[in-house]
Amino acid sequence: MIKEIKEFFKRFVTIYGYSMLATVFFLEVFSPEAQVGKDFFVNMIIFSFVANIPSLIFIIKKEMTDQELMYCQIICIVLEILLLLPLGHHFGLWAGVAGFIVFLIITVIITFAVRFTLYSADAASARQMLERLKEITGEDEDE
Amino acid sequence: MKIFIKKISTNEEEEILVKTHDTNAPWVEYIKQVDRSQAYIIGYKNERMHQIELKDVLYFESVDGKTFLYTLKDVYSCKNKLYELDNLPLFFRASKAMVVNSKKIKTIKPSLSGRFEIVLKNEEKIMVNRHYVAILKEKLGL
Repeated sequence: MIKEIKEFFKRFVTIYGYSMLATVFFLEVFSPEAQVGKDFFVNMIIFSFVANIPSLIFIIKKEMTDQELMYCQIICIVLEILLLLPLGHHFGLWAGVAGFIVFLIITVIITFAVRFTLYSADAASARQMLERLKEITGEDEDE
Repeated sequence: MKIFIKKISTNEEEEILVKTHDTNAPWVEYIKQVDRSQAYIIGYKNERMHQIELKDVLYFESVDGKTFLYTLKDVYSCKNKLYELDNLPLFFRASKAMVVNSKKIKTIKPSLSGRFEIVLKNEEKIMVNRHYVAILKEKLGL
């Protein structure tokens, strides 16, 4: 359970980081004079937390077949959109059709960025394991 | 004679150090037997018993409640249960039905689905859930 909580927290921090980056970028580009208050940061924490909730679907089963995994990924994306659209609107992150489209695109970009970041972390982890395995195998060959 | 038993972490390799005046003493032979029993496993094929070195085992797999062990050349049936085998040093649970020899791993790479793909030295590919990868990391002391 601790491992799952760690994974959840890691994803949460990554989503929050990318959300803040997107905020800074869009504020700089579209309204450089705008300022954000404490409420905005709190809202983004809630937003990132909620965005992470659908990923809990992956811990319902330790071992999934390719098909189950695909279904879970589809459900996760649908849940994310269903949760984030009304919440984003409530927090004033989007309004109107144009705002809706931009918000949707940013959400998709952040989703992929989070996936890519976690994939990179996994790749580093795999390299670390391989190096350790080489050390062990090397030790045996020496014997 | 004094006997020292020290509890160690799972990262460290288990070992027995024997300090003796006579290396041929019966009790030393007995300890050697313990070591041999850990390095070998009994596999059955064509109603014959085979003593297989653990270092030659690629993985153990449970199919319909029976355990099979796979080497580069052969497949044997085995009387041990998977839960007994994943306690072997450097063997780790790769799925509900599989215990893999980590020394037989050729490559590990992540997949976009969030799982890891492990390629064994016989080029066989296994998809491993993150939960089990965490267990492998622990076994490797990472």
